[in-house]
Amino acid sequence: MTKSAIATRVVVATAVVAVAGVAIVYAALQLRKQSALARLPRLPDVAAHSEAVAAHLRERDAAARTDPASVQAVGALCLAYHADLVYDAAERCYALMEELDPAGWQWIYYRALAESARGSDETLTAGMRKVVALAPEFGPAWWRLGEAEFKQRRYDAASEAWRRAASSREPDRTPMPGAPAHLVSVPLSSHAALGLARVALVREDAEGARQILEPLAARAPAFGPAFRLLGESYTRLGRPDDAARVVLHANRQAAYASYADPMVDRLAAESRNSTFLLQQAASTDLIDNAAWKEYLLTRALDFDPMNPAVVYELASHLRSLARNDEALELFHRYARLVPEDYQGLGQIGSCLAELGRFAEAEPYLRGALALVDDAVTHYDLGFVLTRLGRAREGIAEYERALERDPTHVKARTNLAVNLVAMGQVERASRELTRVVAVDPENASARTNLGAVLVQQGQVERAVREFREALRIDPGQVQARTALEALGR
Amino acid sequence: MLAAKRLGALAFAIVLLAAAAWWLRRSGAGTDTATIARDERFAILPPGSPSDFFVPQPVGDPILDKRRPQISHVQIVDLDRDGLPDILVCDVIRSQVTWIRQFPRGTYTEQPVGAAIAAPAHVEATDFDGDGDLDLIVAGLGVLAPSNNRVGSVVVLENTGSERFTNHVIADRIARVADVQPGDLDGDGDIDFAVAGFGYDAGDTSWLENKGGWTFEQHVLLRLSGPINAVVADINRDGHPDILSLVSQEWEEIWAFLNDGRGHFTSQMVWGSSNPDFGSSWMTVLDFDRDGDLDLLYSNGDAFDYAPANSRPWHGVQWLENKGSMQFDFHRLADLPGASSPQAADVDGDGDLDVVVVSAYNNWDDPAAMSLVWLENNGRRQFSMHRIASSPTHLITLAAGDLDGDGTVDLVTGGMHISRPYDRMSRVTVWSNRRPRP
Repeated sequence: MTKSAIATRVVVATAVVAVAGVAIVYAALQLRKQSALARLPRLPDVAAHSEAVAAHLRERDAAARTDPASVQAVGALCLAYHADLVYDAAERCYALMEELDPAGWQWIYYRALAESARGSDETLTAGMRKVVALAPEFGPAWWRLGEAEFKQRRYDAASEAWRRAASSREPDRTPMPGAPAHLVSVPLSSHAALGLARVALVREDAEGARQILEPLAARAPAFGPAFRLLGESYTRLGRPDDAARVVLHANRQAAYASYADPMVDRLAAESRNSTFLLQQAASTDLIDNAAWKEYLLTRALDFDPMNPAVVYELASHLRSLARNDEALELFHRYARLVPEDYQGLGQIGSCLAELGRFAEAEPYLRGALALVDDAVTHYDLGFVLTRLGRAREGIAEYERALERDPTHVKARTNLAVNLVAMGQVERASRELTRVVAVDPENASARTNLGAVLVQQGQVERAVREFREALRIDPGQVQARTALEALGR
Repeated sequence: MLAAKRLGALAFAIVLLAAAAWWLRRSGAGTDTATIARDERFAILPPGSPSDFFVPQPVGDPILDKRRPQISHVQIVDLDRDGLPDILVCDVIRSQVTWIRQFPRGTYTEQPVGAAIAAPAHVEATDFDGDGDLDLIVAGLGVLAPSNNRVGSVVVLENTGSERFTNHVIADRIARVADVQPGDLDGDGDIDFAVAGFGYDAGDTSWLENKGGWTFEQHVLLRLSGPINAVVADINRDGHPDILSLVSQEWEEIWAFLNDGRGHFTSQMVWGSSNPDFGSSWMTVLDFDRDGDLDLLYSNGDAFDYAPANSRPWHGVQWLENKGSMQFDFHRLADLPGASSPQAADVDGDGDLDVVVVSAYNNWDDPAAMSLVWLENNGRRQFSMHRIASSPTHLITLAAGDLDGDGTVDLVTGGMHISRPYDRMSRVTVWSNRRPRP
């Protein structure tokens, strides 16, 4: 064979191999695409979901099926399933993402969260161990790993994870487009320190827990759980007064809120599921994150406008922000959606009272009482009637509220104030004494009691109440003024 | 030619190797967590057909006008020991424990027991004073709504003869009490009590030491808020009664307090969930797998925390298998929004233990949302869910027992109507099992 013939054959063979190679690669890619398509979770029956959730899932599913090997398209589908609380599909989807995007630790993170929602901390542990190996700088993964290890009684491992979390930087929380910032009220390091204190207490090391918790309490004074555990530490250390003091402080703080994880915020931004959005709103503090909470509730309303609970929650939130006009409109909407629920009418009445429209409030409150004989509504009606100058009727309503709920502090306090105005000082004193027995940290009740006691000539007791009021709340101007007037 | 063939073969081999590597990588991804998750959900079988062999019958007093029922607990017990099982009821709206007496068979009449108790949450029958009749032990929340105020109480309703009862408040001004259960915890021959002080943000698990003469001393075991159940049971099989506490709120943990027999306890966490919104709702202690030790049947379905008080897809039922040495394996049995009060009973009479569960919080605007189900055991502790009922709604408490004496398991449920809708309400309902015996 001549050299040129050999060369020709080499060229031909090379071309054949190249073409074959390209064909094989193409076939492999197609195979992979088909495989990915086949492994995409089947769109579940969306009939059981709201229209918004159904449309969301359909849209994301169609996009993923168009490009089933796309990290972006399939990832968005996974997040949609997770954010809309379709756990089985989300778990399968994340498993696929772990193949499509092996370096993408976030899929492992989300998958572990989805799997652990229904109780499985073994999966959370396995998932978070992978995440911290891939992204050791991401502190929330260390914190969650600590949680999972702790729940499985692996306290050394929990401590190690929480120590890493405590020394991690807060993750990036650049606001998502169109969303307000979700601020960190209690930083990751504080949550991690709380975990370390729990380990110390489980190990009967109350002194160790105290050493962790005292500085934590100093730098996070609104973090109620830290004060509760500190109280437990003091109790075990034989310091009951200190324990009582910090537990009382804890009682005045907002309920526990989980760490503001930006990964969960991303789910919230993706979600069309009102249950999830309301859950996130419920765990958001009002002091630092009223805007974030409103964003979540407004989204819930956008996606689920006929859901009475959503309407009610947004209205309640607006009331807490003193935006009573906006709240009133939503409560009217709620009452139209659920005419049989007394709470709608009651809230309208209460809102109108806040707006000073007492005469308009009365029929709504009476309408609510016609549906349910409720202590809170009797209290609201008592307040309205008093403001309308019908003090005797107001007192009767406060008394009805207390018959139905003897622990209703505001009703008893207002009753006492009205009794004083009507000259019934003895009875007012008894009522206020009952208030402080039920609610010993009620500074204004103690101030009121002190004032009544002065009228009764019981100056020493009054002084004690004024001082106690100031201890609880140094801003009690009337108590301070009264003490000065008494020369104390 | 040879070189070309070799080149081609080499290229082909490289492509094959790359493909094989890709396939291997694909098949290996995420195996460990997937395996764990699959194992933990192994017991869940596809749902079965609805069951219509339970026939409902409202019993006791009717629903009063404008008084939405708030039944927190029901219990089957033959209080008057006349051979006919009766029903004990904790009625929050009436601040009253009541007795729905069955007499004659199939006729139920309700009457109050003792004086009022604010927000009774749990009632347990036991012969506390050893005089041969059944006294009642009652957990008092004080108020149903969440509160840190120390308004809880423990009350013994002493049976003074012929089922007339006198209230003895043995503890008050404590965290709101969700459960109290009797047992001789210090080995001195009298009855002490395990107490679940739910509270709100502040709560505790404790025991009340009987000092005699109706005086008791409280010993706090754990200061974590949200205990729902405090069960007295010998969980480690050492012959001494221990206490098991289901702690909800943000903790979502089950704790064991192991007793040395003299009232000295060593605490140990049994299990916990990292989901702070898991919603622990009830725990029943029994030998579920019949291997001689005690397991835990456990539901998470509480949604009385934030709106909407309806469907949470992570709610469900599980059991914790006692593996010995205080090790427990988690097995999910069913996903069920609002799951509460799971009870194990042989519903179909096939010799194995099935599970009956109610739902207190569900998407009640959907008429198909289930309020009462049973989980059929296939004999290998795998379970398929059967709907029993979607109405009445908001069922929070369940008891199982043979009420009509026909040898089958009947049910009693109670309705807690604190959230809308209010169109399918109930107080106390008896569900008579009419399934033919196999």
